[in-house]
Amino acid sequence: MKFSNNREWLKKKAEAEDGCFVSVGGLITRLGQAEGVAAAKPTRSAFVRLLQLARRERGLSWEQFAVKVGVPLEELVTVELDESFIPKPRTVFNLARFLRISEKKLMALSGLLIPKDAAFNEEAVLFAARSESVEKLSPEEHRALEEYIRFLSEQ
Amino acid sequence: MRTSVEIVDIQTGKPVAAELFDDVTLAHFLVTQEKWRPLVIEAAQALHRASGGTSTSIPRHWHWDWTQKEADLRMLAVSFFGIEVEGDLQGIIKLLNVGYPCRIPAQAGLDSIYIDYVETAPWNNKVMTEALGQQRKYGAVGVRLVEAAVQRSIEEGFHGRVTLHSLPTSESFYLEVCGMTAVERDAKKQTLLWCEFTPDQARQFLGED
Repeated sequence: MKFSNNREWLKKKAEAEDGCFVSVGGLITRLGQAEGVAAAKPTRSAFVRLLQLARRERGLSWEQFAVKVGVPLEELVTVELDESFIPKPRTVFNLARFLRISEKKLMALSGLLIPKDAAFNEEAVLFAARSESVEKLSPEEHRALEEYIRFLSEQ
Repeated sequence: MRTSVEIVDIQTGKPVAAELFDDVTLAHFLVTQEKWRPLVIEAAQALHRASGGTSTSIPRHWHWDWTQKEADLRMLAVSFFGIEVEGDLQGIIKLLNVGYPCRIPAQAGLDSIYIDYVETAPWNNKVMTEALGQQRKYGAVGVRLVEAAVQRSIEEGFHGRVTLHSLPTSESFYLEVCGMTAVERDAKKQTLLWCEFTPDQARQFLGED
């Protein structure tokens, strides 16, 4: 491919383009959709559970997990704690690559994309429900909980 | 493919080095989500406020969700081009090389490269930067992307024939700046204007005649 290196042509075209819209294409993007408020809660629960289990399966702390995936720790923690929080696309992209799963599906799960397939939501609900632990706390979890409650109890 | 081109620094009026490339990935689409979309939303909201309006829609020509086109990255009939300055994405275009034959009688039925989607970064758009109270960065980004479409057409053996459905707000760009022919309002496509480059028009657009 050969592109023009004629600066006169370029200058003239740049002046002519100034103030123009160049877009072609289809559908309206809604503001609400753009801001991610349309995230479906069932999928968000499944998204959080998936991250929790993936992290635990590898025996990693959240700090270690964040470093391995290459995402900010603060964002990972916020994802887990705040159901309405929509993670950044880059974060989900990195997570998908680390977990070797479809970026698009993980985006849908995270609330960044709206899944078109009803079965996708149903599967997400089932996973979120089935993966909820009913086991007692492990010694590490028990110790962490106690320490944190102690910290919170201090004046 | 990565090739050096020049675009124009709007503030100085001088050429600036850019890279035009076709190895577009999902990561580039994510840039449009992370860096472009918040500005587009902010500009849309500023304009709504200024006009006293209460609409919650971004004007249709302002922003596409490029991540929805991720599956297209693997399709042979589809190609993407992006343009960057110092690693920052300035514009992106999606082209189809099948399914959109020409309609001008002299070239009716012949193959064309169809511009399916195109968008430039909000900081390169006059309306949006003025709404945001910011200065525009680069000019001729849209022209370079259309040039990529023409070059792809030549590469495919379509002799520069390029087609598209223009949104009303973009018609002046394609008709006056690029010099395409306004062929017809397409009833099957929201009455958008079907535009075409003939090989002669494509050469004129490239400054070769």
